[in-house]
Amino acid sequence: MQITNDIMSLNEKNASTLESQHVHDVYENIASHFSETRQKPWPNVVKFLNKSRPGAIVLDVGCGNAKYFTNTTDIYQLGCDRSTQLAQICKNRNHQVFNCDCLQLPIRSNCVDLCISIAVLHHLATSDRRLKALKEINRVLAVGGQALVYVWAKEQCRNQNLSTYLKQSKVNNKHKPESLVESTKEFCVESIDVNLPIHTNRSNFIHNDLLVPWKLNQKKEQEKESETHLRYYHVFEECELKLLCEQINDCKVIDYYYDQGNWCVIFEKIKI
Amino acid sequence: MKLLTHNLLSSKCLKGVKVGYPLRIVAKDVKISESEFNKEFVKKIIPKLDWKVFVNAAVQVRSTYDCTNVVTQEFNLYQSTTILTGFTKCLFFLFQIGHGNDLSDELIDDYEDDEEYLKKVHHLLMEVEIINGELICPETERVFPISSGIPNLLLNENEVS
Repeated sequence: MQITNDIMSLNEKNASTLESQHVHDVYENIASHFSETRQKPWPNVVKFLNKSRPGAIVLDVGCGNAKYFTNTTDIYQLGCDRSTQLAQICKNRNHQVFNCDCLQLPIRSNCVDLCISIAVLHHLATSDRRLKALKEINRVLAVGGQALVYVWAKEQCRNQNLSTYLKQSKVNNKHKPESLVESTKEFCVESIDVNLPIHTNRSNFIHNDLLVPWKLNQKKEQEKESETHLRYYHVFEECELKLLCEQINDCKVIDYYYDQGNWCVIFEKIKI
Repeated sequence: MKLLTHNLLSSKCLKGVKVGYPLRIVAKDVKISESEFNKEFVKKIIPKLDWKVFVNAAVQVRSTYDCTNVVTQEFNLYQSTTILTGFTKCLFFLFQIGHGNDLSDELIDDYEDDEEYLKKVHHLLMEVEIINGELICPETERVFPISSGIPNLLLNENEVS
């Protein structure tokens, strides 16, 4: 299956600017509200983590609020996140965490046994950056170590089944899947002079690069209207994530699957 | 930041850095928290450590922080919870490090069977936490702050290779 022509192509500086404004700043602003809505671990991620053996070093790249950390003493769990606010939430739960960018992991090579990166790579604005993030994860894995990466899929409805994301809209559950088309509002990201479509929440994706609104829950005392923040996403086509992994020499794809609106890959560091 | 975390961190991602390991530690506030000793875990983690870096990190913590700054004790569910026990353990740590009772920088051969040794490793690896301080790149002297127990290794735009 081919990647469509709808590719946004940015230089490094503009990609970094876009991510700074529409990913990093947003998460800093929405951190506690975001954390409240991200409490339930996904079963297939937990299943992957349960592969760990005693003494395993387990890294969560983009760990957010430490959703996938447990209280076990059998393994060493380490998280990193770009958001200082989210990392603080993680620390308050007594977990080891540090701040960094997933493109420059400040970790020595060949020392991690299991790595997860859930809903992170789809915030990177170019395919070079997405590949670089995968290479960084593979670099820190020990030979034989494995990583699980989840990214948002462009295809939210597979085999007539709506993903959990689409099902969360009461409207969607009444209509046939094909009719769930987003309307096209656009937003101009002035700093880089690029227009991006604004996604209608809980509808199918048409574009590959888009802004998804997050409405911040305001406390009752606050009189102004609730703020809406726009988060940048690149949604992945069917083979896209797998093809990126296959570009890495010392990386072998072990499994590739679709899970509730996400494309998921398990890969292993191999000796070449 | 525990010393096991320190053992994994590197500044090689900085522009112009060839090795970037280990990061030098400056400890300003240190917390000793008791945590459950898991013998299997310690046995399995030792071969994964850069042992010399670990031993040296413990020495750096000793030599850079003011002993009077040792902060609160924390007790988890697995420990007996008298304040005296915690205080005594804290004094013991200070006594140990004050009297140079460090682990040797050569790992002993039969560590797997030596429970006292494993407990010592566990204590330094898992129970010593740097709350405020600095991590310093050995090649560029770039300072990465540690605050509220969280090291910040985010790079500036001009530091990215």
